[in-house]
Amino acid sequence: MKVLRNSDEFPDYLKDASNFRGKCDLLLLPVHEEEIEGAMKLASGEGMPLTISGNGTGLTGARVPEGGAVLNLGLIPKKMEFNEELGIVTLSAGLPLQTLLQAAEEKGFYFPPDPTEKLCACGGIVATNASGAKSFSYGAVRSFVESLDLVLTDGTAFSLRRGEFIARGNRFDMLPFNQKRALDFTPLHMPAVKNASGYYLKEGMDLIDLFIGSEGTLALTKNITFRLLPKPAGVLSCLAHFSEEEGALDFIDQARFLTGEKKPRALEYFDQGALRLLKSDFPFSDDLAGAAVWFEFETGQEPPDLLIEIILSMFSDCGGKGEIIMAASPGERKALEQMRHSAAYKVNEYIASRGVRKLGTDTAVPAERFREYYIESRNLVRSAGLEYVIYGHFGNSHIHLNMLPENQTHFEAGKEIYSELCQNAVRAGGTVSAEHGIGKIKKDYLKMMYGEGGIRAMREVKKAFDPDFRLGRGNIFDPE
Amino acid sequence: MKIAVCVNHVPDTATKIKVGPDGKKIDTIGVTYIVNPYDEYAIEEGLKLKEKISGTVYVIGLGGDSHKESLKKALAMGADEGILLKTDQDFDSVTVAKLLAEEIKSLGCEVVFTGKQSIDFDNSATGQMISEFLGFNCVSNVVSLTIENGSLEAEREIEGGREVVKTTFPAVITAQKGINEPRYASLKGIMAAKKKVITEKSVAQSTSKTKSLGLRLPAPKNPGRILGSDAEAIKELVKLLREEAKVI
Repeated sequence: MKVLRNSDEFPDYLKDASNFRGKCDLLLLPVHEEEIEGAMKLASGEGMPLTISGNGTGLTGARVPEGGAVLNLGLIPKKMEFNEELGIVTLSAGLPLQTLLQAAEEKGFYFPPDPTEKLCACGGIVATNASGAKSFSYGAVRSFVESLDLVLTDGTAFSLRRGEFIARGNRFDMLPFNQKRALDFTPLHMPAVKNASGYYLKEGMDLIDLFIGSEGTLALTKNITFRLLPKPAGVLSCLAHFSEEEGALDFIDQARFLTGEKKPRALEYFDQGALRLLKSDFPFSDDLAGAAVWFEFETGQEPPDLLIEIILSMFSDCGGKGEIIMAASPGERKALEQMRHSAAYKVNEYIASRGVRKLGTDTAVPAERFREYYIESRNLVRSAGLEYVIYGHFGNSHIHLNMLPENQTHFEAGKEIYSELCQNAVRAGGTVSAEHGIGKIKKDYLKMMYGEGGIRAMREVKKAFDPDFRLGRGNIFDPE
Repeated sequence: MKIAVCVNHVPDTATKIKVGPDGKKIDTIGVTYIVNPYDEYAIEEGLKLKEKISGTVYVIGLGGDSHKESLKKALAMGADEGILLKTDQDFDSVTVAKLLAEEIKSLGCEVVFTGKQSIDFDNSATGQMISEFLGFNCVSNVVSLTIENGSLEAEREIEGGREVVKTTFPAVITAQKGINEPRYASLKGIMAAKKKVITEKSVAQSTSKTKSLGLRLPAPKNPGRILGSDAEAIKELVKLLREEAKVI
């Protein structure tokens, strides 16, 4: 194991992609899987809080330490074993998502979660219950986790398979690492939208779901088994521009209700600001349009005529501008997907170049409240005179409204609006974070969502696994 | 004006090529095929010319049934008619050029656009050979083209710079990256393409002038070495770059 004690030697471990910065006294880099438990014990032995760090691609400061030790699995040789018969893959938590996606594709499989940053560690996507564009059809990472190998802060290791520990009401009669110990919990009123805010606590839940999205506060994830899907025969991937943003919202509203074989797997929105931002890299982005929608449907080898006719008719009804462009090769499909992901990269670049922190919403609200929420949010930012771009997984009524503060004064003004946008999302029955997680920067907003009672319920659960609040300290909620 | 565009159907650039069991062809299992990227520039240039002076764009392919996929894409982009010179044989460039030239001649096209090369065998020869068979003027490796009053002014990419060339119809133009930004097919174009015709024609008995004896993959690259992940590794890296790789 590599142990570093001078934080000047590892500045990369003290920040993440949101530009949130921290400090720590010890970096633990086990080089074999067998050393992980020892590393956990070492930090415990020194009485230090321990932050588990993935590849630093997160946007909430969850991997950024506020003192104590950091543990990263990057030096451990990565394993990835496919069981093609069962359609599952078992891999090391430190394996980058990109490696999994490529290997799955080569083997004729498909792993739908596709967060923008493909260099994220697979352990990280479990920790945040990440999702991406395809969550409209397939849900977040949670839907694909079959089993986890976990290690508690004191070094206790155990495995957890889906279906193995199911709560009886609000009680787990035993825990995998101690069959004599029960766990009672208070369920949360989780919103009926895509959600990555706080613990998953629900009556009759599966224990594995508690660890998914727990942001490194309950246990370290050592290995993961994901369920895979067969690769679809064909994918229809298109970009449609609209003269007005209302038209794009109408198109999404109509497409959202297509069902069966005609159900889209992704419905992504770009406002004019995003189209402008993307124009130089993606010439097909029409920055004179009011907004655009990138959508994907899984099809057979050829997209069915009826589907094309439905899409063309919706496009015409909704004030489509020009022609719907269609990816006719894998390369073109990649370019359209890349355009969506580049929107996020470009915003992150802007933020880093200005030295301010990211102010991008990750809110989602129920579909019937979405249009109202969108317009209200956009007007709030616009009236404050702040620059912004909007994109997001609008199929899921999930919006990334990114304010682009030029300096610290703008940032402070934006922060107030951000808080209001979160409050409005909660009021509309939605969530303050649909996919990025809470980390260290959204704790106040989580309180808006669940109140002190909800936070207390989560804190109680944490105590059962990490009584000294050592693991991921400062993530999701503060110690009492 | 009748405009011909020659379109090849080639393995996707991301393909990991494997040699097939006979040692002479690639193993096509699991390979995705695409329109030869340089031919996409040729299609776009053909469509731009049609939009400027009106006419008919014929896209012509030579190969097996699967080549229709690339022709369909060209039709969805806006070409008018597709012609597949159907054969399961692999021919050398001169034979391909001869067969394409015969078809272009029978269609009565005055201008031919094609990519400067196909990214599969990289011969960079077919366009020039077509012009020779047809007796057309030829400008290759074109990065910019202006057509005014029957005169073609082209910029060619050459070593270290560009050459400006003027010629007249009939002409063959081979397209290099940069000549245009090929349009995407539109959804409406896909529907329209379904109604457009791809005529299949059998090719005359032909024999290649050159014969491929076999394919060889390049020697595998040496695996990379990880020297470390902190500042100490830089010293070692500089030392190895200087003493072992001798690049600094």
